[in-house]
Amino acid sequence: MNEKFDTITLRPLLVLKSVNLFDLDVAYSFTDALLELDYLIFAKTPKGIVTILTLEEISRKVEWSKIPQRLLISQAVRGDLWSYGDRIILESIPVLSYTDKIEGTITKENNVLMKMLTKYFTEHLNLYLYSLLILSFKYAKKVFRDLRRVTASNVCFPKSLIVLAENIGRSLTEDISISVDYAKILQRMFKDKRKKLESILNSAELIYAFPQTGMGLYRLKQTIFSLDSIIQRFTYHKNVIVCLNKSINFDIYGGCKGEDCIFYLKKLIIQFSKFPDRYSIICSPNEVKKIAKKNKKALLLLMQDWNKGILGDFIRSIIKHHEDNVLGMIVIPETYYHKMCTNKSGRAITACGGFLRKVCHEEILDILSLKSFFLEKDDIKVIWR
Amino acid sequence: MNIKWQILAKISDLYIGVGELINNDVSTQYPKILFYHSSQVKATKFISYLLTLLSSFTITPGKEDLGSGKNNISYSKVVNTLQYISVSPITHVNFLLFLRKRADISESTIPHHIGSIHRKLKSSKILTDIPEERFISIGETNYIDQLSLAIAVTGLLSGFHRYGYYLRLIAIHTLTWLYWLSRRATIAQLLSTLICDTRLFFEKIRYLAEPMQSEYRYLYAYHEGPPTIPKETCLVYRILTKVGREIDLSHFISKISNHLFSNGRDPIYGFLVNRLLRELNTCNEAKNVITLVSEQWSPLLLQILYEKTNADNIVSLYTGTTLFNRLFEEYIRISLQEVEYNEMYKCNVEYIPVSLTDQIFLSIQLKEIIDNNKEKSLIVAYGPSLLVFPLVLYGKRLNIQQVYVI
Repeated sequence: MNEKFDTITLRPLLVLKSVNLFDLDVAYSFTDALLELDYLIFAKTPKGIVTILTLEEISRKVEWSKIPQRLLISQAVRGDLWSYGDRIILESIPVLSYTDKIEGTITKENNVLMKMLTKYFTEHLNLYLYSLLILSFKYAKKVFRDLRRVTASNVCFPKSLIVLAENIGRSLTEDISISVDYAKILQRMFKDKRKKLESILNSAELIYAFPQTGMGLYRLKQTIFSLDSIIQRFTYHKNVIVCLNKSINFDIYGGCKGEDCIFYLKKLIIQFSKFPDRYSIICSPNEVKKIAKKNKKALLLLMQDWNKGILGDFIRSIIKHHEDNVLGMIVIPETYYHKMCTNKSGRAITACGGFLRKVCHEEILDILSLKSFFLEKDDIKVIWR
Repeated sequence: MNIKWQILAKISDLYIGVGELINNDVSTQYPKILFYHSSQVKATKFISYLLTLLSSFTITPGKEDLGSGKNNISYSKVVNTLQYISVSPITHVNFLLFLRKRADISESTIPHHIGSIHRKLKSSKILTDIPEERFISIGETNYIDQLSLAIAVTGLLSGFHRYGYYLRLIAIHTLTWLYWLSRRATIAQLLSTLICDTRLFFEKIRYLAEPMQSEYRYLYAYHEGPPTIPKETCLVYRILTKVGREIDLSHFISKISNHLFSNGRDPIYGFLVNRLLRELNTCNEAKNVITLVSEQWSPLLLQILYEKTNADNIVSLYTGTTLFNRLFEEYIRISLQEVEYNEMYKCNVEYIPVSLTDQIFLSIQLKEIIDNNKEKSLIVAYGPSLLVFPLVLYGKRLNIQQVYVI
């Protein structure tokens, strides 16, 4: 047997820093990340074989606890490399693979790619990482193939990431380009939408809010805080009309329905809102014309989801009453992945819940531009004509 | 230890069972029991089906990955994999692993047997006798029944969470579809068990503590209380086997739904019968269907879409939440094709991942998808507003004539 090991050299092809992997269901599991990786590195062996490795910097002795959790969640991270960092060696678990403190700079192109991914492709990035680290490779490849499907246009999920993942364990002959020129197109679209939203949110005098009624008090509190944020952040005095779906049980105070909810909801508004006098509540589309002045500029805010049939009835009634004074409708997601400006953890993305509850005022427009669906006045008519 | 066995099946020398501890207080959340025993690992296709589905596509050995002849994967390795699956927070199932108490070994003091016995005793695997009740016997090459068994076991072991509920539903829907296609008595038997067990599922979740209880309130919030599901497996079996083979699947499931849930509160086929079929009854044929993959997406739903539209191509947009449904449908379809069973929908199914909350990229993506498939196209939009409204808007803007919001 003649075996000789001189050196094992890996050349990094792409480095993703501070990667968070979340459960797939952003709507229902928006709390902690399943895995938090300091670095996910695609590298190449001298013979061109693509490989991945995860690199962890040890900052505290307590980090040993990541190991059993990781073993349960992902079979792909069992080959973690642990960098000395502050020269801490984790002795409370079996020996790990240690390496020098990694020195180096992430390239400008790599930074642009990561910024674009964490701003415009957060869910696709999570799906990609989930497939890469959790699904069997056979099924991960199916997802990578799916991600390739919308790549005919200029703007797409970065092909370099897909090519690297598909070629793990194989020799990669082609050069990988990680430049993403089309980031500019997304940036332009983002700015345009932001400008439109700012103008509409500033000029709205009346907000029709459609809150979701499940999940007990939690959701209603988040809705009230979010509406208050909008009232505070934008100019012009705004009143809010909260629309209730009277056929659905309100999941508060043991459950109530229809007009019985008004009392409880008012109580909550008084308790949690800074502007309780600006709120009123209606239970039926017929009440729109009784409660709102026709000439007020109205904006509709749908908090994540509603019964589409009853929502249609409300919208038709609002359009009929306010006519051209309807400015548009914004569908606000309850949960989303984002890099918040207040996030001090340094993670590329965190999962945020509660609509706009924890969003600082400077960031509201960014979140709405990136995460919400905005229908202009004419769009509303296209859907509910 | 008293166990009520719900499914007991035997494929060659492999015994598999799903049961519950009786006197199991409904207010507790004991997982179900998976009994597994095999003296040799012969039924490799079944093991492949079972591990793939139970592990939510994280461990997916094909037949070739399980070896053959003397190089077969060992029994203990399958058992350890099952145990790993039972504790993994990624999978949608939850179970206690039971193994056979006695092994057929002439000399129990042989060192390697002692090692294995110690490992067994040190683990959370529970040892029991092979149940004495009657096992459904499935032939070694009867792959349709083997696949159905793996689906039924996965459905029965589904956990007490949102994914678990939908896993149970798609297992029932898929078995209904397989039964409609093949009229096999074994499938009817498995299906009846799974339907009746759903009654127990609803009963149990009523006793969950908060906040777990809130997770389920939406399941019956519209109906003021849990739905009524028949108790007797044999009654459901009779209903299933009595319903004649209708011309199309839509009538078939409408009939089953009417027989099982005479009060109209159908928690199993309700969405399909009450909403999807009602809306699609008026649609015309289409070349391309663009639709959203929901948590109820299964081969049954695809068969209905195919029947109603006769489409050549179904473009299915999925999110992370519905990744499991996307993988599941394709897995079942391909598994059937591999065993040369080709009675199903004959359209091309194209999956594209979309995002609910990255709305800037979503707008680009949807316009392109609709534009690429707009010839004689039909849109079926249901599910979250953040996807439904953009899909409907861009569809109408690009002059798609048939747009259904469900």
